[in-house]
Amino acid sequence: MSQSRNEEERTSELTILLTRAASGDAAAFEQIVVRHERRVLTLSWRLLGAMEDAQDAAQEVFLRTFKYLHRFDTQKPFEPWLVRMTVNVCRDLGKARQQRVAVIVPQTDSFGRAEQQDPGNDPHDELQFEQQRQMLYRALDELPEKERTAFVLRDIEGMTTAETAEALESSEATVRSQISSARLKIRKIVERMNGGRR
Amino acid sequence: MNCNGLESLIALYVEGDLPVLDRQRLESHLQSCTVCCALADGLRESQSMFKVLRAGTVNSSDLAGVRNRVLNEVGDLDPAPGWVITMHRLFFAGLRHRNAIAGVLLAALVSGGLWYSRARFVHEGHERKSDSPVEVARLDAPAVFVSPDPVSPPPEAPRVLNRRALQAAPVEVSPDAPAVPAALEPFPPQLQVSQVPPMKFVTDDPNIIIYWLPSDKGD
Repeated sequence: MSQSRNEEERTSELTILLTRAASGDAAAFEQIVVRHERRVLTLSWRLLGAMEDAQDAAQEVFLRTFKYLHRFDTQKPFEPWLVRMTVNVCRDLGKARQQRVAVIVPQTDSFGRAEQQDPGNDPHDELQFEQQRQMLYRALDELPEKERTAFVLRDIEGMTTAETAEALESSEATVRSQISSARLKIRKIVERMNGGRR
Repeated sequence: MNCNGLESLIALYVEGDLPVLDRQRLESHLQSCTVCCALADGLRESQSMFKVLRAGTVNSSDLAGVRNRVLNEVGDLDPAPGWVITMHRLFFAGLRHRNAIAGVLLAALVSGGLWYSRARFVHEGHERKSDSPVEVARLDAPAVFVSPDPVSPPPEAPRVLNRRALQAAPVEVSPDAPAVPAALEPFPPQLQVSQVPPMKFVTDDPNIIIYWLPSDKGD
């Protein structure tokens, strides 16, 4: 009950911020950036693979947000609009830079596991975790762009199929087909990378 | 249920993306098929590996870097003026731009088509209206006869010439050719089949010209 009330309060607060930002209030826009920067940067990083590109994409997303905020209908939820814009910006950026080369191996210092590190952790475990993560991103990088985007949104970001379809401006059936194909390919790639141990 | 084409369903099943009916059918198949069961296990394992990536997040310095760059850029940008925002909301009514523009184009196309078909209908109706009295007059007009030769019996009267037309364009008789009305133009040579010159009747309607080709006897 109180959780839904908090949600409502947050939504109405965001609506006020959006209205103020649309009329040029820089302080209100800064609040919006602070609230959503982590989501946008993380998603961009997962879609593009390189932190440098992800930062460029996130910057572009927020600049477009500021520019086109007057087009946004404040009666609708803001985050799907922002996610859709992030996906589009990353797609454009990926095409422009022909990003599908080499990977995505996020550096430990630029990827946020540093924030979650427990000083008591075994460095050996850390290293193993890092290697596994690099392998997974290499596998992701082998997927076609559309399947990769659908897979990242659905299986890594944890969005529902409907939310993914909305972000990709596609149908749920298409998204299901893309993620099904992506999961099967990922499994084969992971098997191959593990040296066919399975 | 056999294993053909089940891979894609299994890939959806492992993350709970299948509808209830398909899920139940697949589950009953998985109980009896070891190959499909192994595929499902493999998919679950690879999916669980990727769940690890959910835990990762970007660090604060990267976030701060992006924020500073954005706010610096935004300071240089001019926001949309208030009237632009109002007009935009008025015109697009919360629709996405391309949907709104497509709707406007469709409406323009339909109304343009309607306008064109209506204008054409009115124009055709007007033409039909202006043509009809002449046609009626031509059909109902009394017969008029111009004799080429006062001796020979009169030919059968042409039925398409009206009295009004004859008055408007009276036949002139040349002294050189008394048997032929003088108002008539020279006749095309290929049509001169007899000694008696043919006659051409001119009416006030430029579309109606009557030729009379008498035989040698004047019939």
